[in-house]
Amino acid sequence: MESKQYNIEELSELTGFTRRTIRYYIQEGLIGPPAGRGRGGFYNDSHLDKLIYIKSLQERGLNLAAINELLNTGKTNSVEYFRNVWIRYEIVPGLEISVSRDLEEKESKRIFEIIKVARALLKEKITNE
Amino acid sequence: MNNQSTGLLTKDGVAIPLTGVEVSGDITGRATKIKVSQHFRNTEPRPLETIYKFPLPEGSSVCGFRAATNGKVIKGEIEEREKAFEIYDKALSKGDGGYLLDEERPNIFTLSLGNLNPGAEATIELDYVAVLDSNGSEVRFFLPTTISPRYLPPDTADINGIPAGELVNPPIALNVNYGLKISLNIHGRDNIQMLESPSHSISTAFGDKSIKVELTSEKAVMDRDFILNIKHKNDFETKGYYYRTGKECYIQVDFSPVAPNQSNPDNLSGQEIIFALDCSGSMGGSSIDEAKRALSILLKALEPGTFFNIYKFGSTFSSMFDSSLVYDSKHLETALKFLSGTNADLGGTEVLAPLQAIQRKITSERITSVILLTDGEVGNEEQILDLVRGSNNNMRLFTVGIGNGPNEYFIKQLARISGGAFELISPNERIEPKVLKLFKKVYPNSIVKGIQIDWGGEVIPTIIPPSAYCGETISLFAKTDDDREVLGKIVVSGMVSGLGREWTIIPTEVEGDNIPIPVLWARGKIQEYEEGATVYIGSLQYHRKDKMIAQAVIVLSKKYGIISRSTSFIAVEKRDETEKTTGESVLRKVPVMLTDGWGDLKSKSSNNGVPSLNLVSQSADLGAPSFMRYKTSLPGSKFRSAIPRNSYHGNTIPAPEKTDNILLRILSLQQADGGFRMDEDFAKVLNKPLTDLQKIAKNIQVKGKVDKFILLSTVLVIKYLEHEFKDDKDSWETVVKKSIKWLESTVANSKPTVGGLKLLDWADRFFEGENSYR
Repeated sequence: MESKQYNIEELSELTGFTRRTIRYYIQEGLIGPPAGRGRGGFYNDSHLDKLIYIKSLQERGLNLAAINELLNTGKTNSVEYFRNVWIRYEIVPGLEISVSRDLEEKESKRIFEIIKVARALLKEKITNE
Repeated sequence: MNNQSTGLLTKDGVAIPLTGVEVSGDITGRATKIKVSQHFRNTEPRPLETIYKFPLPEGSSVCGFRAATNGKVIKGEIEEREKAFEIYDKALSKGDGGYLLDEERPNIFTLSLGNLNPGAEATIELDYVAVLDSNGSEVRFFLPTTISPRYLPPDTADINGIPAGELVNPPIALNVNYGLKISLNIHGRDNIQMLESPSHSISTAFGDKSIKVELTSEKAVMDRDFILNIKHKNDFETKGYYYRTGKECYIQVDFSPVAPNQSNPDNLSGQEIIFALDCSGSMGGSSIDEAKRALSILLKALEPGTFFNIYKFGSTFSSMFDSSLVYDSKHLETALKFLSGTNADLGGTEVLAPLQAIQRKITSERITSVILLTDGEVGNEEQILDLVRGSNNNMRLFTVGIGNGPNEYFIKQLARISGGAFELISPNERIEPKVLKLFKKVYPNSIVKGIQIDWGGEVIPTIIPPSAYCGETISLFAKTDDDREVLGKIVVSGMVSGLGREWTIIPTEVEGDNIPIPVLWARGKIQEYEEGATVYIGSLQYHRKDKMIAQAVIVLSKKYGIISRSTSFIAVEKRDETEKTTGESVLRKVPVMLTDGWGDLKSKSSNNGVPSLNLVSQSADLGAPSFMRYKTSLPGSKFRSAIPRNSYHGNTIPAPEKTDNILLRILSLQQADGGFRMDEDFAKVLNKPLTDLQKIAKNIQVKGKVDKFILLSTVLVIKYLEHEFKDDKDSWETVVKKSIKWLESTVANSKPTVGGLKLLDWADRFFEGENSYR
């Protein structure tokens, strides 16, 4: 089957990337230049697929540096971006409170308070028993 | 990330399309209108797309954009940011010329010139207006010329799929072939007392009503901020202006509160003071040494009962105490030791983590003031600012921006949103006096709180900051929806040290073609939207701007013709078929110069500790490569004395050797519990052997038990400061407050006399009499 042709507007609509971002990806070699005459040339499905793939990685939390690494080496060190990151606070041995990174950043003060109180409470109890 | 052009542009002498930058404009009081012209030429045999990232002052409203090329001048229009790029991209696809200006940060802009044909030239002109910062009678004109590398933590999120660093960090070069020319007209000649540039060599020419200030170099190296300090004969006063367009009326109020004479008890007892010192590599050289000296003086100035701590930070951070401890002589000693073991060896500038740590430990029981000394080279400003915005607590930040190219926006914004204050210090200015001046603002008597304005009618005001500092001037703007004939009085009210005060202003009408008040109002309004309306309220409910707000910004930006983060300037040069660019343009990113003194990569020998007052201009040879500059022009070390001066008043002002150095040395003699202990150096200043002074101390008669030597030292130091540093009272008054109190109570209790004279009278004679120390 012959590959479809897209102009930059269509490519932008289909992928959700702005025109500026697409131009930047061409400039950086993430996707190849358009076929045909210069800047006004056409794009095909391989461009589209690559952009959609990049988008999906971004939605999983990878930034472009990590994506580049992944595209070039097939690996990335930033595995934490593949999952939601949780920060663990040990209250007493055997008990932890886990906080998602987002929440931890947003409500650091309150969470710190909770942990302080929890630690104080539990330490008392365990030593009393 | 790979960049095909970087290698070509820096070392191997491939022509950079930018050939020069010219800055011209007018300064009237605190108001400026500036034109920046950037000249480009394509000397390559292929068409180019050129991208130039450059800085502007963070408070500037860019209100004009033109491209002059091929004998045409194309005026730029404001468009929504991505729409503007689309227009630009389409123009380039067609072979037309495209000129695009984007705002990345309030102080970082990106210019894109598309389809510059071989041999073609283009000049980009942009206009901006701004209101300058002032302190007392001094106005500071500030123009950044390069973008210092901004540190972004590795996990910084992309913006629309483009790495944040790509937006703010241009390629850096150690040398470029373009330079800067500056020519400014300073109006109101008769009101100006002194002009000086601590950053560049300048020349001055006097007209009837204005003074023309130019750089002595026609092609100054763009590796440092240009700073011009303009001292007026009188302090700025609270004033109001209005401007009628025929449909609307715009009002500007310059609010310049003055500290009350009758001070209430003013001390920091019970408050918390945290010193946070940037120890990243970029602080290396003299910056870190001066910062440490300034901190040691402040440490000695703290009052017993204050809680304090020191943080040092870079890529990592640590603090002196786990949490703040009460100030006493033992803890002072610990602090001085901690400080002396501090170096600029902690890597990158990570401000977020230490601020988070500080914030976590803050209690609601006391007011916390953080004195933050940094060069502020961070790229994740918003993340850090959000932390401060989101913290509905008592943390005020007093920021000190150090170096040839600190991140002005970050330094000021951090202070503004937390209700603190800031100072920017260029390397030829001493850090210590400025830090001492800033420290004064930590005290309750210097702040006007709970500011409210009665505009005398229905208006749409820009955000009123809740507080202002005595000595500074802030400008507030409002707009009416009808063009009222007469505007009534405006009343500003606020609290100073718990007492209500009022300022009444009768605004005067201004007329003319180029009145910037509407643009300044619009800019204030846009800023308010961009930063979220809750900024000054400090609400926990801080929301990111949503679509509606973005829309409001676009409307304002278009109506008033000013750029914002959501809108860009776009100009398209429609070309005849014969002029159209054929084939793909090659991308050239214009490198900017590495900031002088960046992480001490280059020499900072200019910083030989001489006060910058009293000087009209200084001339370092800015034509020479910067690492040579000071060494060649300055054999030996006395920077100022080696420089030709042209004095404003025609008389040479005495060598500035004494002032600051002596003052700082004296201030560092202060004791934790109050009082001074003089040393050989201070005795020398008094022209007496220390042994003589010790004898005098022994002969003091007192009631009760008093350390007579400390008593004599303190009397002599305070009297000496009052005699010799009257004009610098601003910098030392706050620092010696503790010792003045100590002296007052000690004198009252012990009634000291020398040879039948009261000690204080004796001291007056010592300084005034014929037989005195001189």
